Amino acid sequence: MGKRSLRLLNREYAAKILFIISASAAIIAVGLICVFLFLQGLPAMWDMGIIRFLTGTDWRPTWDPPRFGILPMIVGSLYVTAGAILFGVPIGIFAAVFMAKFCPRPIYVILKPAINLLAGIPSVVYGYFGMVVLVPFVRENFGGNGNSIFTASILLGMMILPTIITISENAIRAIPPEIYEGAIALGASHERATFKVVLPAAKSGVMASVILGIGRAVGETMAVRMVAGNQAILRMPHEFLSGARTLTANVVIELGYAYGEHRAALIATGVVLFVFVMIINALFSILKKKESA
Amino acid sequence: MIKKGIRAALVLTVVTVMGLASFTGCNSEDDTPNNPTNTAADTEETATPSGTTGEIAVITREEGSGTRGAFVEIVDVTIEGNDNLTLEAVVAPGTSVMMTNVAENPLAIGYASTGVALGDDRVKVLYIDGVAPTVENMLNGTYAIQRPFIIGYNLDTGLNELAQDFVDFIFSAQGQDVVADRGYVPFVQGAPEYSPSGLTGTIVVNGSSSVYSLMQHLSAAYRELNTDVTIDVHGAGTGHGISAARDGLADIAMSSRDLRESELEFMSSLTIAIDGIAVIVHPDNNIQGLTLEQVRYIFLGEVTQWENAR
Repeated sequence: MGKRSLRLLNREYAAKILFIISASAAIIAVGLICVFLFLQGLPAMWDMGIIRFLTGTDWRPTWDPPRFGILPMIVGSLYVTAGAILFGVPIGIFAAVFMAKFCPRPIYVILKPAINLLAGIPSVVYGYFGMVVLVPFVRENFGGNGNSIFTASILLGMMILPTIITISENAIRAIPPEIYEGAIALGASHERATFKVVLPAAKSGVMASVILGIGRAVGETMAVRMVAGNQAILRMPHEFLSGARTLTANVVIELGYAYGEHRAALIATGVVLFVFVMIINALFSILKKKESA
Repeated sequence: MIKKGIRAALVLTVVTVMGLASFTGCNSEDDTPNNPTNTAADTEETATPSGTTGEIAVITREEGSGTRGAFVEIVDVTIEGNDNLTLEAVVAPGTSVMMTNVAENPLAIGYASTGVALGDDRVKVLYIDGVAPTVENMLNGTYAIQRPFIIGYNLDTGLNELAQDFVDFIFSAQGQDVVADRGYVPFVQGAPEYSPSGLTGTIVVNGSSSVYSLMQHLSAAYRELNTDVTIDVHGAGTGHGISAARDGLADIAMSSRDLRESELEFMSSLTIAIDGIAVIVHPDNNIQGLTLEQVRYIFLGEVTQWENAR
């Protein structure tokens, strides 16, 4: 073994260690967050009664004795997320199809950076936009006081667009051209080939984009709390023009002031949110697995 | 070469179209500010001569906020001593979100510290029991909704020399002048003159976001006299400030409510100013004032229509 190959081996060894450290940094971060959240949140949940905490409809943290029921927030998060899907997913998927299959090059070079820019706008800016543009718009055209589940859904729908468009577009572009050409050869028009053959073929990728979008919608905090009204009331679906509070908003609004049991209840809210996100990510990886299989 | 030219022309066309589109976008944005005035005119036409009608949009600060705590306590929006502010109220996290919410909604009612509300033309400040929230009315005690601004420090460790000097400044003639200039009521009458100490170092102040803006002006005035001192003022909230002072992370805590008994065990309490809480509505609302009792019922959610609020 020459000196040179030995040095190469050393270098390879060093690189290996570097990569292991980098890779484990992410794992350690996730592990630490898990341990911290569950250590702090689970005992509090246990003390309050897990069932009562999850199904209680009263959130009165400053009362004596306090009441900690987060069902209104769980339901609020579900409504707002469902609303965001309703607004964001159809627009996002059609935009992705347009960009991958119909977009003339000169428009594409403007559209693509614009969508990337949309992804880069800080959520507090979205929130401010929502507060001064969307809230008055909804109040004047739909009724209610404007701070509502509906408003938050529109805003979140806008915010998940870049995620859905970018990933769906990549999924559509990844479909081998032979599939499209085959459809054309059989006499299908461009539109028919795109919507009936290429889009179904890209289904799992498009679904993955939707799930990532849902993840973003569930976790969004800053913008939602500025437009959603944040009332901790259990709403029925037909009350979509009334406000609601999401799990994220509950944590961020009150954490600054909370101490003792109240603080523990907010961290427990974080645990519930974390479980939500874990479920969504599990769905995502199941889809990925299906795709590769 | 020709191909390139065609491409450039195409791109140019698209850019022009985009530019035009954004122009029309601007136009429609220009229309938006007109909309509220239109709706206001509509409401005036349809409403009875006595004024604004419709469902009251109650806006509140979040649970635990010092302003909310003081408001709920003074106006007695409680049930068996517990905060009973209507759950239907929109929760505005932070003073600025509160101001924007009230300024944007013709049917809104909210509350904010007078120091903030009186300086903001976007909202209308209401008379309470026929008394306006002016400095005069707060000093003579006729304005009902007022509260102390308090600073505190850790009793175990005490104040260091520099922080003590800053506190001396706050209670001096110059310091109390700053308080009065900001629209608050100075708590100390006939305060002594302050003379610069020549000390150097850093002071950390943390606490109530309501006291924050006053504290920033106090620190600016202090640093004009003591240029080598740095003062870090944070407005993380009353609770945050008190725990920071307890844990040694801040020299001075700011609170916008009387300290609780449990807090007085480890904190000193010095009142630096009196702040009123103003009840605010949209400028187009033609209501001029409410009684304390009416304010109470509105925030309890028992009065829900503007026509019933008179």
